[in-house]
Amino acid sequence: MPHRSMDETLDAVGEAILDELAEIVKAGHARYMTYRPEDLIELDVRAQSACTYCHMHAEADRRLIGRDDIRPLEVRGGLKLWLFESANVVSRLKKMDEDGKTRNYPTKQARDYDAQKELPDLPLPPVRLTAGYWLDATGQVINRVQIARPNGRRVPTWCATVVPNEERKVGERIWVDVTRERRFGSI
Amino acid sequence: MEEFNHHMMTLARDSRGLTQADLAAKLGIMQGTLSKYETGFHQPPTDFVADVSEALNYPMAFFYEMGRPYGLPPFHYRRRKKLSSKALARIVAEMNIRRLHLEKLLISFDWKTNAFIPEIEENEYRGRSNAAFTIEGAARSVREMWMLPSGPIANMVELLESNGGIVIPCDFGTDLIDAMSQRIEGLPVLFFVNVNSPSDRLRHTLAHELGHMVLHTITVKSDEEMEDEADAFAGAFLLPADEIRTQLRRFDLRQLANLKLYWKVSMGALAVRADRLKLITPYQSKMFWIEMGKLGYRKREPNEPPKEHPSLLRQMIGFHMKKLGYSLTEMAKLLHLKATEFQEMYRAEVVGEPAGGSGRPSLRVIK
Repeated sequence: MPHRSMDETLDAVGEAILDELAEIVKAGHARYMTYRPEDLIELDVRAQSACTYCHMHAEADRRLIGRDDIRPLEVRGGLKLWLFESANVVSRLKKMDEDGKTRNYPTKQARDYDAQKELPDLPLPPVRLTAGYWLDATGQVINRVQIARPNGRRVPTWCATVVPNEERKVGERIWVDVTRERRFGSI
Repeated sequence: MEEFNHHMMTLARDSRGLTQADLAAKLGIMQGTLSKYETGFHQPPTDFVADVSEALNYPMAFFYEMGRPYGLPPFHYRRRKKLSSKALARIVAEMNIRRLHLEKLLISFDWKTNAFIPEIEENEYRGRSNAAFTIEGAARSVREMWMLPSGPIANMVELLESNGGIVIPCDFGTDLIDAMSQRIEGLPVLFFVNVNSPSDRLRHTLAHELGHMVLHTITVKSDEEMEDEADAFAGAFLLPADEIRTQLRRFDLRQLANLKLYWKVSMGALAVRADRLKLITPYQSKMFWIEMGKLGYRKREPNEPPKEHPSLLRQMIGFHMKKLGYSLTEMAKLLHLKATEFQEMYRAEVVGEPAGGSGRPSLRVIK
């Protein structure tokens, strides 16, 4: 398993890609919110996540396919990933909570992905990340776009948020560490 | 000149939020003298009227306006308990002044409609299959009478204005009062609403006031009972039980937010409706309000629906100024106001100019 810090990993990915991922995530949610209100009423949390997931991937396909250095991957079992070759990072798109934790019942592939284990179509080296969104209590507004590094345990190793355009400052990184401080060193 | 109208003096003083003692001090006279003029005990000299006119910033003609602004059928209002009686008196005075303006504007503006806001008398009411009176039944009757389809009411303001009401947005200067309504013979039913209210709250407020106009014109009960009935009416009118019952099977913030998008009613109002229909337990209701408080949604909820803009008042002003050729100064004179106050009272935001306006610059006095 490659050992790289948050700074090293995200700097390697680069601000342009992080920005792109944030736009993809926001577009997925925005598309879901264009559904007619009478349809939204009938969709539960799981349906919302599933629809948003599909819209995020459709947007990612539109933006990223054909780009140098970026390769779409589909691991057996349907796990869709994006490989950023020069950064040696692979990312999936997902709904998450404020800690960057995904909350559904993961498939074996997803568990192995989170644990940074080898997968059939994915050799070991790339760092596995999750790019996703954390919604507010109403499920209608994105609180944060986040990039997390899962580790197969309850809480990811680290979690960063991509700073919204209007809050960015010149000379500062476009991401901020939002990893929750842990007591007694436990994860 | 006509006779001094002492009622107008009380109205002018209240509208400026002054007590008799305040005004007497401002004029440098004894309160007793002022009281005698204001109660009609003595006729004041013209000099005194000129002084009052200046102190209260109304043209002298205001105090010679005929009629009696108080003593009319009472206003119904939706307010918070914190609102002081002095502030309430100021707001009631402003409503009366606006009503006098409407009477003037309606002389030339030809506004006729066959639709009307019904009055339901509990003892005479016969619901479906001669069912006894219930608030739910009354709300359903009004929906049926106005031939409203099932589902959300697209535009509450438009609905009232097309059925014999007139919505008058006012700047109450406080968010402690949402609206007032009044039914007076010979005038459309008046709904004065606070321009500062969020739009989801405004819709519910208007439905609440409609409840008063439907239920409490003939039958008058205790304030608490009337408020509770008007609130239940608003819920039943905006969120018919047959439809909302199934949609509230899932009761959480997320579902309420989705329902809010659909019904254009606040999450708070939806929760109250769920409670009234006994779709949630008292514990669920309590937890919901705690969560709303924690998130700061009790003060202002997210995802406010688009503002609804009344159009009748704007049409009336437009008709006088564009069709009848009244200038700004003449309009102010017609309504017994100073030009600057006319501009303030009927500014674009108040008369319901939609965002972006008509594309024309707003009127202003050129000195």
